[in-house]
Amino acid sequence: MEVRDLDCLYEPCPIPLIKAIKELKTLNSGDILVVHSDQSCVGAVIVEWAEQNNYPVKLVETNVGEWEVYIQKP
Amino acid sequence: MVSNEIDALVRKRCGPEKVNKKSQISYAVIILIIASIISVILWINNHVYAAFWIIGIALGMVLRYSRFCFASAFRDPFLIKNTKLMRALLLSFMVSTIGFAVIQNVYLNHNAIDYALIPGAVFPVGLHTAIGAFIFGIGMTNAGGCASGVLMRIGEGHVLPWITLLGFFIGTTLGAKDYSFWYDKIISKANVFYFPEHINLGVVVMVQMAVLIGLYKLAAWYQKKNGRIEDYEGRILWR
Amino acid sequence: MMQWLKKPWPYWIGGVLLGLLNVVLLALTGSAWQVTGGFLLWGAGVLELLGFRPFEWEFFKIYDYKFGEIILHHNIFINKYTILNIGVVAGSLAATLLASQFRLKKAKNIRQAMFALLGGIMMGYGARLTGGCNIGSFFSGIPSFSLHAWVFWIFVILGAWAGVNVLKRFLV
Repeated sequence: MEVRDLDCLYEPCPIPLIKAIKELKTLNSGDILVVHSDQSCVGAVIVEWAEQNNYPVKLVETNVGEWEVYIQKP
Repeated sequence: MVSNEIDALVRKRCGPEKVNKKSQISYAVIILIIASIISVILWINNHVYAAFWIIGIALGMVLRYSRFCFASAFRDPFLIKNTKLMRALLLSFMVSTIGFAVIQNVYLNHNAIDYALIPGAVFPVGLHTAIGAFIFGIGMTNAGGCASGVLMRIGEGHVLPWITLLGFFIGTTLGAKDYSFWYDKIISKANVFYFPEHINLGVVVMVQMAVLIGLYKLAAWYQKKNGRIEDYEGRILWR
Repeated sequence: MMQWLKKPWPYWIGGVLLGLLNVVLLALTGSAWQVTGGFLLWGAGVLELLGFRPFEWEFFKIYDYKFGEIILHHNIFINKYTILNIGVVAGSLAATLLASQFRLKKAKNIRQAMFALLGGIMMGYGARLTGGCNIGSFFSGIPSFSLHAWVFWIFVILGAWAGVNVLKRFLV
């Protein structure tokens, strides 16, 4: 199982989402992608996308105004 | 959906000390107190100003708390085939359609139709609407938010929307300066099309509600076709 | 308590509340929610301070019913439109602080800043052509039963689609 970090700090919506979808395509089944973002809406949008496509997902608020989205490729 | 592997990874990487536990609630209380003082001052000077101020604050809080983003509502249906925000927008139109109809009904019962004075936003429709909206759409997706999104993100502490705001000032002032060009070429020939002028207001409201409900169902169907759809809406709304 | 203050509201609650607030604003003040009117007054106000005469443009003669009184009383910087905008910023700031998520966030690079500036200019210019931004012209226009808002809707979606493709090519 590979864990890959994707730094999307200071990137406005929807760039983190597009990058995450792109990055997930290069991962294998079972791998986890961690998206770092400072946009409040990114959490909502990526979680929304992941749930819609049945990807296990978890949003963690790691710091004041900073989030990590954990997405596992099924 | 949950995954044990994600939970294990989160536990390993974000121990209790790494998760945000800082509280800024005291600052929020200070801001709210200052805002209340300002509303009292505005109320003494001009009642209407106080209404604008308080509603503005409420709008800002709702935008931020619900993560509402108009740019995202327009973009998500084709970017990630998700219409949840678009459906929320349609719901909001259903609420405001009825509210505006009541207010406009009062106006229309007492006054002749004057587009400038009808409560709400009534503007000429024509090629300029199409051009303007298209340019606006491109700008909105590239700047990372529309006008309300820019204001909301400034409140969140982002620096980038200040630059967008500067662009907004430049663009909107340029647009006003060039307005005579567009006015001569297109806008002066375009007409306002205000539905209640041609059809009874009650009928217009019913047709508009039917169209909004239809669009809502279409959006729900589109998302269902492309993945999961949450079920709380089935309980609340027609399906 | 803190968890409760952090929790985002579902979109549909936000939608219903925004619709309600717009109705309340119209009922109380007689004008619906709009954003760019305030931006324009600030932009033109700065030009006036620099010695230009923006308020003699044809635009302000055509939209005299909206801006005439404000210009007449020299309330260019503080007026109903700008108070509403500052209120939105203050409300968002308060909500962010209540959720304990406020932090100053810098821009990433020049390229990103250029896109933000250009995007802002395009939005500002487009908004003037249609009578307002997606709030003033569209969000308040659909419930006002005016055809222009429906045309706005179709073309803003087309614009957003074109914009996403630009974004994918240059920013991602």
